[in-house]
Amino acid sequence: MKTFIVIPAYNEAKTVSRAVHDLKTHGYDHIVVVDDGSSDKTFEEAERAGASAVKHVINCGVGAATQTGIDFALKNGADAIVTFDADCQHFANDIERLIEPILKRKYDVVIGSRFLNKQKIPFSRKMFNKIGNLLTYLISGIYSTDSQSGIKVFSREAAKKIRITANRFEYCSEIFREIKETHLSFIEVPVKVSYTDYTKLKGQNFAHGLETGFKLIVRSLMR
Amino acid sequence: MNVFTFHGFALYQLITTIFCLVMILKMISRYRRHERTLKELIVWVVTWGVIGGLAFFPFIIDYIAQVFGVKSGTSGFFAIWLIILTYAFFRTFVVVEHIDKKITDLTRKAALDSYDIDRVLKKDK
Repeated sequence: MKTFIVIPAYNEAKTVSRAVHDLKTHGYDHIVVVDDGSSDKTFEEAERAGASAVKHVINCGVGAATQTGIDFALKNGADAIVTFDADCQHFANDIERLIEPILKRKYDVVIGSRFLNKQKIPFSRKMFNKIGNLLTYLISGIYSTDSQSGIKVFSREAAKKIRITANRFEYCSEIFREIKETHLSFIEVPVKVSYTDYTKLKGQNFAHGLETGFKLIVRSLMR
Repeated sequence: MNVFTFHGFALYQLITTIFCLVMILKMISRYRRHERTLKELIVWVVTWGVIGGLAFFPFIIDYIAQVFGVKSGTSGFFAIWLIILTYAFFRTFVVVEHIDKKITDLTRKAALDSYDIDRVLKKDK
């Protein structure tokens, strides 16, 4: 089974090569880094580390970068597609357990959940996630323990069916709506996460959270 | 000062109702030209229908005004325009989103095409 790892990256020159090396060490050779219009050397660092690097000329958002990576993987014959963060908050050794339900053809989508096992997670992240989970439930009818997770696995069939149209962080909730509307099966599998000062600066802050929530509600009304 | 009325309808009632009717016809026309989905058509026909209905039957506004503690039905006039302004805001939001999506699609396509071209060029070297 050909597994592709998709890493959306925006100004992640400091960490992207470490993330790629870590994945390569664990035997994942098909890695695509989508540089989302970074102003630093993210693209060059990803290429140097041995990943296939694709570049957005302008910053479109993590949702758009993820969809570009998924399209790249599908075009190159991926059977399973894993999304992975570039800031090294995820662990490559979790992927094997995440892919298993796809390999056994039991589920179409696997969500890596940070909240199924107890671990040290900043309070602000817990709060954002709770709000994200509630909004996701309102727009999709699916309750997830980690709707905003960056680590997910899609089977080829699921990746073909799911279309991400939301550019930014609201894409996470959009995926659940797509799962529901296209009748895909999914499971949550616990994953480890590492929060450093660097990773805390990345991801959603309060303003992003408000914007994400607003866009989710308006998009749902306009559909 | 005499207030302009037409068959017992105030000017604001006529303007708002005609405006809403025009917007509904515009939405239907866009739907027929496949520029709007059925869901969008329903949402906007209901929205404009409610605004037009409230303007045409102001006693509903009076009732709502009483429920919410607004002093008079005339405040309803401002409420209606507030709704219209809210609509304008959402409409602008949707248009911006639409343009944003087009730019994103273009950027994404260019990224994948550029990767393929680079690969061919590297092979030729």
